[in-house]
Amino acid sequence: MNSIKFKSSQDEIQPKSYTEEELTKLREFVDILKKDESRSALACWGNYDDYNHGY
Amino acid sequence: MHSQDSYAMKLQKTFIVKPNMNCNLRCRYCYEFNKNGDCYNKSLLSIDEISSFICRASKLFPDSRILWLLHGGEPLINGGRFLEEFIKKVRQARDSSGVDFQLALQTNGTLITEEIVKILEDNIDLLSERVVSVSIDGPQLINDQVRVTIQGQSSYEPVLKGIECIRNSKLDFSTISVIGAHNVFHAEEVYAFMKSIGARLCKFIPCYNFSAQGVPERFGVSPIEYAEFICKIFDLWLQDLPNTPKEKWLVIDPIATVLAKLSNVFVTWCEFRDEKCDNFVCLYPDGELWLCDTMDHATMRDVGFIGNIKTLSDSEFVKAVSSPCAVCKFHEFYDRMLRKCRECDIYALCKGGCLPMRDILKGKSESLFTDYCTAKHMIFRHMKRATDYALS
Repeated sequence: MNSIKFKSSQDEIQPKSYTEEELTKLREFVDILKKDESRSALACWGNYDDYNHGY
Repeated sequence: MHSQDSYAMKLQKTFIVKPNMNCNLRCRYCYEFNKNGDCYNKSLLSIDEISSFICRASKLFPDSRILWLLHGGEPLINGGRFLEEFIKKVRQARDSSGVDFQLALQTNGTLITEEIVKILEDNIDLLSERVVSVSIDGPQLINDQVRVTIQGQSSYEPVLKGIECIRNSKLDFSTISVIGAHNVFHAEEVYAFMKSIGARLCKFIPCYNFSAQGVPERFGVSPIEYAEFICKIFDLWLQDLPNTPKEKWLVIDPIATVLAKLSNVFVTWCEFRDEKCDNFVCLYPDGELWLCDTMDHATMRDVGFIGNIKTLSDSEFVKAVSSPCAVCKFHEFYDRMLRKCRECDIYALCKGGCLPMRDILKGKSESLFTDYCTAKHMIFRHMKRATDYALS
């Protein structure tokens, strides 16, 4: 889990309650992200998994 | 002058190729028409010129790994033969030089035919993740408010027909949707639609069109409105996860990227990384090379223009592509834009966002510039709450 703490809550939008089932599935999704070795399919163009600034 | 041997080092980049800036659509928010309008007068980059560019890249960077992203304008406006020739040149370069070249296609989808799909299928080994990216903004009522033909007619049916061709093939497709005044308050409809058409990956990008005074125009939305849309989509998506078989889970960006950042997982989207515009080379129809195509040609030439393929010598070409910051002022721009960011509590997550976009917003209104950061906070905070619960 990321340990970053937000300094204030002024920008928070209306909080929503999540069910146990939803949170379990979210955890599974995050696990998929962690294990995915071809993550380039998930975002920006290109395969930058071992990007080295050009040379 | 470098020797040929000294060029033989590893290069990894995305080359965005814009053979033409023309398009068969006239989307009412289009940044190319409104921001870099003069590009429309630029001539078509011929297949011979593109071929020479690909060949030159393969020879000068023999160990390179390049994603050739065919973009525009609308790249399919040149027809199947042009696409076939383009792919052929990439394949020839790959086979003869041992480079790792891949292809991707960004299209408005209206010109996808069985012939186009067949060409892509025949070259599936070259197609990056087998993904063709199609632009569509939601169901017909939403999409057709903005994405219309030159004659002002609906683009919806032709796009759906194109998507159907892809769905009947071995190819996958992703969608890219512009979130503007036409759909920003319709998250439910947009989400349900994207799910219904069977996209593998959906990407939602904001329409930050504002007048010089910072007033929304051409379907522009505020960063806060965009953030609220993304948070709403996140809630809809999360609510839907338990009811959807895992193999049909939608991957939505920026949601997947934000979740990855919150979970300390590697991300590829430049907005959320240290590596930004200098990760790209964008070739325009007149031969000009720029960093990312988000840059405003009228105001950012010193920051993003790196040369013209028609006049660059081989050594200049190598320098421009491999060390772009040595030929333009991108580093200074990068440092200036991120100076304050480094003190921000979410910098490790956000990484400063899209720098050209932030610069454009800053030039128009200080409050827009601030709202851009507030919106990032909103998105991270909203998803962090759920992620913290899920991972605790």
